Amino acid sequence: MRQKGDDPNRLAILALLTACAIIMGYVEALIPAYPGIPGVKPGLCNIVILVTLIMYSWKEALLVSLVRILAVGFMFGNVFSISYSLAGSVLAIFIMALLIKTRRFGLVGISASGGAMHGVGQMIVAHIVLPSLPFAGYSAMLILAGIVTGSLVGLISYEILKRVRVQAG
Amino acid sequence: MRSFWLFKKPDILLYLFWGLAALGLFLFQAYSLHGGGRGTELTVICGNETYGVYDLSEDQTIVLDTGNTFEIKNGEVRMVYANCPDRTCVHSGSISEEGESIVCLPNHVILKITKGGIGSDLDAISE
Repeated sequence: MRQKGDDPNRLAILALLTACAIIMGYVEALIPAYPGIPGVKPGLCNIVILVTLIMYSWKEALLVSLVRILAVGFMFGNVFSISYSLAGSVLAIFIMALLIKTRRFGLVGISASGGAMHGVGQMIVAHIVLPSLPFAGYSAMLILAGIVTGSLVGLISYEILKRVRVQAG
Repeated sequence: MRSFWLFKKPDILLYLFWGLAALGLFLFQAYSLHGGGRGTELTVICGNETYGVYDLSEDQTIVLDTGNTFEIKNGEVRMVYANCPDRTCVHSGSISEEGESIVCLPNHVILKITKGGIGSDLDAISE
């Protein structure tokens, strides 16, 4: 890690990003219900995660995500919702970091894959909790929803990153 | 700061991959429902155990230990009460076709329509 943690600029930006991620979770919790498929959310927090991934690395993104999930989970959720978010976001960060590393993909594709992976992670947890769950059709819906919301998240992230590029250290 | 792009051509491959994955899962689901048709029994699973099997021809309302309450009426099953905040299972309406299910994820309850007789034997084998 080498005195990275001593960099006040980085620390401040990460704190800011974490705060943004938590606020995004709050905004999502304010919207009472989403039509159609249960478990589908716009994934606004992933804007922050994707921005963190581009600005720093998967380590910082994971940290921001962990703090967010625990904070939002204790405010609005429970142990179950925390475990679903955790599995989804760890897998999403993993796949997005991998795709970013190849330098072959655009933010829209990267983010869509992250969104889809979120669904996969949630279904894995659901399957562990309830092995007799009929999961195939539902995971297909989660993947499709993840692609749609993920693409939007990628678009928004791109617009944000274009503007913060100058500031990043 | 890493370099980034809004869209690159290989992104299409990612969309294709996820699209095919979703399609595959949909087909798998459709196949495993194998035709459906009206079921005759309701199998209730709590956690990982079968809680009970109920006859669909008999109208009744049953309260589970978890607080979930379901109703069998005219061969159709619906969840009428759940104590969880989102009540997804209550909102998922009624089921009657073989293979259809209502799931209450927070309470680990699955209501599943089965055929009875041959149908339940098949289920036992596939497990």
